[in-house]
Amino acid sequence: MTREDQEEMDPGDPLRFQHELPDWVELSAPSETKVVERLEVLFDDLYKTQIPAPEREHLKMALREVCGNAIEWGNRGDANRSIRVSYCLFPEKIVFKIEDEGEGFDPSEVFDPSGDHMEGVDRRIAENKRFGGYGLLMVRNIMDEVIYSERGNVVILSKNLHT
Amino acid sequence: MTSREPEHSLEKMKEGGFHVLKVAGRFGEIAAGELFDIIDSIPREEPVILEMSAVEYISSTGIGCIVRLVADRGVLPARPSPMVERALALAEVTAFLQPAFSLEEAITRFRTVDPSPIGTGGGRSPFTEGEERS
Repeated sequence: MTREDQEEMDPGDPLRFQHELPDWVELSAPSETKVVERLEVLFDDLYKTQIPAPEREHLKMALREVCGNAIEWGNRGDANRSIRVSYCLFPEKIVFKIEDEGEGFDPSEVFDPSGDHMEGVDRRIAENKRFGGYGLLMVRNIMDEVIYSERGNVVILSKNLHT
Repeated sequence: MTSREPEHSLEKMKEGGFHVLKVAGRFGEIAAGELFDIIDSIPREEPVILEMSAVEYISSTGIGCIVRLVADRGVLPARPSPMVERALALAEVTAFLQPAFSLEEAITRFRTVDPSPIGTGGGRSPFTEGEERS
């Protein structure tokens, strides 16, 4: 689908494409929760013939967690701020790049709940945070590589396919 | 395009004298909030089984919700759908949550710990005291 097609078919679509070759997609979107669902649909549309369903489900899970974090924690849910998402499909690997406009964070300071789930619960309550805290752990377990920029507002994820 | 986040349902029923909350569809932030509200309305001493066979998607928030319900309320997760099983494994919480794979197993676990059904003063965690959860 071309950019013009997209805008004609669905002018309300929040995704704005900058680059849209099938194996190289770059887009931006406002920081709205619905964008994450839209990205999942796009991901399925793009790769349903190239990536088997179980692997695709895991990749969508990682994409959802990272984009959700970029919107909620990075951009603080400010719809005036954007996220930028890129997918690059290589013959045996897929790479995502997700960028937000927030101040960034230090991923090494994020508590890993896998060692002590009770402490994870206690910390979230003490910090007055809603349930969660498992997103980064899930993403690290799904992807082969997870690399954050120095500032922490850009993350590159890669996954070897068909292994 | 519409958001798929609200596409979930919560059903409250009783099975073998125990509360069973069935969550279906997408188990994210909204479903988690509603689930907490329902569970808050149930007396703490009454055991609750969380049935998840119809969950199509669970997020980190949904997993965090289950962890907190197990830790705080002794809720017993049961019948995880294949997607939920995979997500729990990726979040490394399966050993902690110890989901039951059938309602019968969940009920048996509660009865083994405390045979009193709802309304007779029973209800404790289905885990034995001091049992390793992780």
